[in-house]
Amino acid sequence: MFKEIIFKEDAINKPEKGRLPTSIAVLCGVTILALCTLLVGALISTQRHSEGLQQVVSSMLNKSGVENPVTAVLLNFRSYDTLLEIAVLLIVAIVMLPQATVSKSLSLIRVQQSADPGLIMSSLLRFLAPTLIIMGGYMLWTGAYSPGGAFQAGALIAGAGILIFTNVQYQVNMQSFAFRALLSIGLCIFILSGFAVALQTGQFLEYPQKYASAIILFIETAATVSIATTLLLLYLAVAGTQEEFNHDA
Amino acid sequence: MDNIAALLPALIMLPLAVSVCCVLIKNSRVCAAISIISAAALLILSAGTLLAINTYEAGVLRYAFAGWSQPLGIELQVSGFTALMTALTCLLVFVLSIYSSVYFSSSDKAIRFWPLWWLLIAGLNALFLSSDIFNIYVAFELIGLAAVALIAIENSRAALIAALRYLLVSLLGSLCYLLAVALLYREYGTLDLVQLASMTSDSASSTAALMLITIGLCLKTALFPLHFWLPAAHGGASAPVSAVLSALVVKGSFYLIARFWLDILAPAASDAGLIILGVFGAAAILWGSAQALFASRLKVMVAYSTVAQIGYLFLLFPLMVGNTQTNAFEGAAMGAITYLIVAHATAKSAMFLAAGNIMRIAGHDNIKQLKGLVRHCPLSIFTFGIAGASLIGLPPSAGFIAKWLLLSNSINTGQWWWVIVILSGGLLAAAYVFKFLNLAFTKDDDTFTKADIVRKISPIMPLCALALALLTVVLGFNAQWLLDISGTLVYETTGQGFTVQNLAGVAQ
Repeated sequence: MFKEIIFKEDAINKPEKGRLPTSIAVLCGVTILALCTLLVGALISTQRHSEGLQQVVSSMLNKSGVENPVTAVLLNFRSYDTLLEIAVLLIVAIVMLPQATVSKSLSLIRVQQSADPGLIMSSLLRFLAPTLIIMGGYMLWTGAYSPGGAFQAGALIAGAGILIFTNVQYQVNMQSFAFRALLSIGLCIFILSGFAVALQTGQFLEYPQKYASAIILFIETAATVSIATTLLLLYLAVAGTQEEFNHDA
Repeated sequence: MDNIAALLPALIMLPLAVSVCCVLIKNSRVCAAISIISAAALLILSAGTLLAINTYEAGVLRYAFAGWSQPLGIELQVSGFTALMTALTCLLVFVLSIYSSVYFSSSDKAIRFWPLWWLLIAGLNALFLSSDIFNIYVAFELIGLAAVALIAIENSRAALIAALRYLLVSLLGSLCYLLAVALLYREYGTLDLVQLASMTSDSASSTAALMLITIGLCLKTALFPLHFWLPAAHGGASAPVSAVLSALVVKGSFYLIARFWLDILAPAASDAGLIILGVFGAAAILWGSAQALFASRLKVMVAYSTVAQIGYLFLLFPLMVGNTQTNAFEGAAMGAITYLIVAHATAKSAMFLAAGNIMRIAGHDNIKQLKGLVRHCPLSIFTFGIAGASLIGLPPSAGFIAKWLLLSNSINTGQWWWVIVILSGGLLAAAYVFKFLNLAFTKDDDTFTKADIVRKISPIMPLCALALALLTVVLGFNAQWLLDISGTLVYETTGQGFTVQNLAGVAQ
């Protein structure tokens, strides 16, 4: 199912298969085992810090705008970390975007009415895809109170996306501006909201307490869109029923 | 003066914003224009921070993201040293952005290059400014992935293999570091660097954390014998990427090793460990220089020279044995290393740009086939010569001052054996630099003639390289200024006859 990258050089002479000699493999195993034993020993011999930061987090939770401590840490207390993580996702997206500039069309999605997806595919599409998207939305919303949030919601929606676009009827145009906009909207909105709230409160990313939950939901929604699009891109770029692109220099 | 502190997040957010713009715009000319303007803005901002930092009593600026101070939130912290590193980053980024705008002007790689370039810069600034060990991990992820992607846009088989190997090494390093972060959080219940530094003890868990950090970050810094990935990665990337990888990316992880050994986990660090790091550094100097001497490709030679120069950085550790300073980022040895970092960053990026120019003109960088090259690209060879002089440690370059400081430090601390290593490293560097220059200046039986020129390059490219090379000379004349501004040199503790005054005398 997944495409294999074949270099021009490999087609001529098969690359040699690298394998460690058994003696070196055993030596590596023993070294790693010894290091792990030392590590476990160090862990046992050292006292654990009494409570960590749990107490601080729970005492500040009512000021964070959400009730779920994980979301509070990710989107409020340590929102800067999450912002950088979204930037890491953008790197992945940039790398995986296919290079070929074959299609210059601006539309995000192309529909081929003539293609026949088959009974199983079309019924899956009809029932499963909307369910997945709704569940994704629920995950996003529920993140404020219980486990859930942008990453989980993004994964669900990406699943729906994969279902839709592995279907021959629909094709996503990865060269379009809209697709790149979807990929970067998470980071874009995060930075802009951080800046906008700074105008009000003075510190970057410091939400006014009254609007904290709304702002968190807003940022998370944008992040969900980017995460879902990036995951979809990863799948389509590797499994590629979409556009062909070559890896030759 | 508080407004400078309020602008600190801009050093990270502006590159990220530029990167988003470059993803959306997809027009390489517009991207280049935005990039050069933003790089200029960043340069002004970082220079302002550097100049402002010395006017503060404490010598540090802090900024709490989202208004949550440590230990709950993440804070940025700038000291003289990190402000200097950020300013160095922004300065190189400015010159390299101008160079890249020409280098990638006729290539569709530009569309990928610009967003990745700015994400890398955001990561570098985030790393230098961060005061939170987990946030530093995230910054490493940003740097590591962006660096790998920047190598991979070269799209040749060799570059892709180098990029993949670099990715695996960098991930292994990050995971070791992450495990250490978990150990430290478990033991001390905080992630903030300053808080940690005041709490750490020499418990077994802290020692284990220090070992993991050292292994992980030495992989990323490419300290001998963990340098195996570096020559292919730095030698295979495009010129501006090689320059930034050698000049800045490896320095980021080195900075953290120094920070952990000398400051945060100092109670867990033993003198034997410091000396072992120094021994590996010495081995790196000799091995890297020797490999550079035997390299058949110009860029691989420059990359091996980076392996050697990283070795010099690790001589810091044995020189800090018995250091009584409370703030480990002060002291004569740290001053020397600060100088070395700046000197190497400017010289090495100049050298990689010169090598990139030569590669553009000749279409290859096979040293043996470049005889008589000087007639066809005199400016690039000249740049290579100046940068080489700085790497060797010839006056009046910045490299000379750095080595002078290192030498006098080794003698002052009674560790004369490092002197032998430093001097023989300099001799080997002279050998490989002159080996190439000698070939380039050969008059008879040229292997490189006018017919071999693949294409002409814009004059901006050699001029950017020359600007960086001249910078090393300028820094050589302004030793005292640089040491003052980084706040690393403490006048009272300089010991027998080692004063800034006689240093400045040497420089002139």
